[in-house]
Amino acid sequence: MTTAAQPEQAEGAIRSPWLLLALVVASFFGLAAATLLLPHDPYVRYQQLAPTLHFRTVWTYERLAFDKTPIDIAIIGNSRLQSGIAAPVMQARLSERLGRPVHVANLAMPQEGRNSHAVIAQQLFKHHPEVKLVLLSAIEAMPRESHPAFRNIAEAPAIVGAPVLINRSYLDDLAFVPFRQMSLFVQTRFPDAFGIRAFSGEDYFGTDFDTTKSFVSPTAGFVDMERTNTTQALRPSAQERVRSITPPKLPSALSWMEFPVELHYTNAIVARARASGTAVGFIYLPIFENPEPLRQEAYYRGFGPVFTAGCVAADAVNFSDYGHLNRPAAHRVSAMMADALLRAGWKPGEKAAMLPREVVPLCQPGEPLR
Amino acid sequence: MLFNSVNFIVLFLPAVVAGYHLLALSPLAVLRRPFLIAATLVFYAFAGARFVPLLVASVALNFAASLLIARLAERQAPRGALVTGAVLLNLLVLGYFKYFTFLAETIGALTGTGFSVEAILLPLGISFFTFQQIGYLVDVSRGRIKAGGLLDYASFVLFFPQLLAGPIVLYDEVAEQHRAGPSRGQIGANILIGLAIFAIGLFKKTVIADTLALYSLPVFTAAAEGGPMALLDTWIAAFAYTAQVYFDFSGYSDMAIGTARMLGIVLPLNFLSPLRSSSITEIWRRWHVTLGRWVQIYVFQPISIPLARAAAMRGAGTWGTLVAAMIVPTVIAMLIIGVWHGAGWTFIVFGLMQGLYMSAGEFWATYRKKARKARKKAGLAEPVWHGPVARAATLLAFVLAIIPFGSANGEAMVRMFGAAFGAGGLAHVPAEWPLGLGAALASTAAAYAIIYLLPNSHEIMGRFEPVLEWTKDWAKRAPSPVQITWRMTAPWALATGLTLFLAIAFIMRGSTKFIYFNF
Repeated sequence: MTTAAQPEQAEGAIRSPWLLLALVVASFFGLAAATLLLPHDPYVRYQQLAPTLHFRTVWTYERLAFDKTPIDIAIIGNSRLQSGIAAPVMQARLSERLGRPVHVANLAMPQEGRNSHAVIAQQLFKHHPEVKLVLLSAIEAMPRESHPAFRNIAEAPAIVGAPVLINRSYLDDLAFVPFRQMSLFVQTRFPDAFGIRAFSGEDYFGTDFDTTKSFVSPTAGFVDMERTNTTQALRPSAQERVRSITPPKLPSALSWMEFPVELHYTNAIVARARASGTAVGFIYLPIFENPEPLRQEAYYRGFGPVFTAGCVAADAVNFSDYGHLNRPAAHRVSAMMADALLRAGWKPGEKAAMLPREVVPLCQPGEPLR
Repeated sequence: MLFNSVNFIVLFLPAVVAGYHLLALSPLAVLRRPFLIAATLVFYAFAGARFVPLLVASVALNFAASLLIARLAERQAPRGALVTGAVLLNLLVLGYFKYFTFLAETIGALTGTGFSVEAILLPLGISFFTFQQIGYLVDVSRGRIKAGGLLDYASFVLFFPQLLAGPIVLYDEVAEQHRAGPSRGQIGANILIGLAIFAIGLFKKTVIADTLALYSLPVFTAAAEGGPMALLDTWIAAFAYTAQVYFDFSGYSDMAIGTARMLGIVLPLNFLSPLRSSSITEIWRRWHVTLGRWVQIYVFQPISIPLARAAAMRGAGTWGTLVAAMIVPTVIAMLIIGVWHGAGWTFIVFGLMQGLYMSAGEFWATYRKKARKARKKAGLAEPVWHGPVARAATLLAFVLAIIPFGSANGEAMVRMFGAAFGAGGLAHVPAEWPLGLGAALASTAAAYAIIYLLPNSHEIMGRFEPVLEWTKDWAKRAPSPVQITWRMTAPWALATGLTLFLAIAFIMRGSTKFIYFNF
């Protein structure tokens, strides 16, 4: 029987296999690194999300990169913010109360993960340096996850340079880069073959796109945001969601190990905003019947006001599902958000104005939504 | 954990290969094999932690049974009942997980009671490790091998490169290799050769098979869901799926062979360019070779030999003997191979078609025997068209049989066959086909060009004995028109790096599960 121990006999003069192994590894990494140099159109990059639940992030890029209408307030965060804050309502209320036009854009996207928020924020500051306030999402306990779309929308160096330590998605995100870069390069060169479109007003959802309306998702079909619910219908899923919240396990001094993505990228967004003289705040929209206190509220409050809408949690008619407001409730919360901003002293003309670092309830429990 | 996952390639595999060799070279060399067994259990746990106890119990019980059988064999005492009992117990466990739901539903349908049971989750690799252990028990009973110790036996079964989807190895092929361990001077070469084989296998899976899946799956899905389908797209999908299954499973086998080689173990060959064969019988000598061999040793021969004797004793004549010694055992063996792939009528049809093809081939060969001899005697060569026509007909027949293999259920299979023969019109281009009909045709044609023209992975690595008995048994059997030979040189190291790079990069396109993990 033949065994593994025969290569030299077959090969004759042989180079050092260890040297050749090193060459295999070097060529592998060399090729992977070379893909970073492949150019592509960022719009093509964002269009990769079109068939996913993040399809509205294509609009986000269009709003930022192609629509020159200024942005005064940008909302960046999770699906609770996406479905819970109607930018047109908020901007109408602010414009009415201030007697001057104020532009609000809701750039939030489904799922948690501050790294994708940082990518959106980067595009925001690049294309709309005039922005005066950035409102970020906050939830009951900091998410530990990286955002699944980060690998799609971030620049390649940002993926390579992401925090490595205890970032469970780092390896997968990094491994995605070479194929992505090759694919985007080819799609940029041959857009028609891949159904890539150039920006035109026809497909654009518009400057004042209301993210709280019902929509057809490429992955979930029709999503009815007008729906009202009953307590019985929502309670089990809401309770299950609350049970799934894992509180911090490590002492706060070690939270950088437990929440590396959230902390790294929140700090980065705040630093970038401060460099531009832009204020930062946070919004918390609750799960049905569970207006949980923010466990890391002090961290967020260190950067700006934390607006909380715990008061809407008690009534099932406000929710389209266990964690998302329906459109009517979202419109009322958006108006309350505008009022709360003004109460907190936000002034659109003063770019560098920092808002008070405190918790600002949008309403009191039991108070009817106006 | 899957071979085509980044975590396996970047973390698990390097850690295990390094740990294994470091242990082998250290004063703790005694821990080398336990380390590999533990790594295998970790590997298996990632695929389905809940089935680790089942796997361990299966190994323990079969080992205990093998000791008892060996003891009886030494004393030349009757052991048929014990072997039968142990084999039946293995088949019972396999049957419960794999066939119970199907059986219950069939009984429900036949009796009109609608009786059914909840789907039972299939432990990954159970068909493979069950067959491998049954073979071991029978071999010990027959005295073909001497029963090994616990470590020998556990190393034989719990070897992660081939645990989940083969190759199905025989004990005497690997036991001594496991026992001996890696040779100090060969470690670097084995890792390099193994990595090259692994890279080729991964490339076949992620770049070729997964590309073909883009064109086969939409049509098979349409068949399952009642969507529109027509003649042209059905044939393209059937050809694409046939090539996909080949590249998927032979790619997996290459990865298993490469991974084992990195640990200094040479595994048996599992694929030898089967789609280049000129008969269905030949295909099955070159497709999933280790399963075919298993069925040949443990099913075909035990049926064929007594039947041949009985036919000869009764003076059954040429045709009678052919039916008894060849046709009946062949159809039974192919039915078992079909059903081994899964519980469902589609797999029965698949096995039956293969059995009928092979039977037809045997009848034809017997019928033409005299004419062939006369031709040979007269010094006449085969007509030039014979080879290509035989290959084309074989491929066409095999592709037809792949339709039930890939169909989700009987209805989907009927719809596929109907569409393949024009029931749905001439052409319907599925919207899901990336880049349309031209790309579907080009991708499928490219896959068959690779199959027919380029050397297979073992030919490429042929200088380094990539599989057991390569030089002795396999190297000359199916040479490809184009010869490419990997060498231990810098350009080939760069080519390996490029292959590995593309293979890993394409994982992230969205790799499908290995088809044979369903079995």
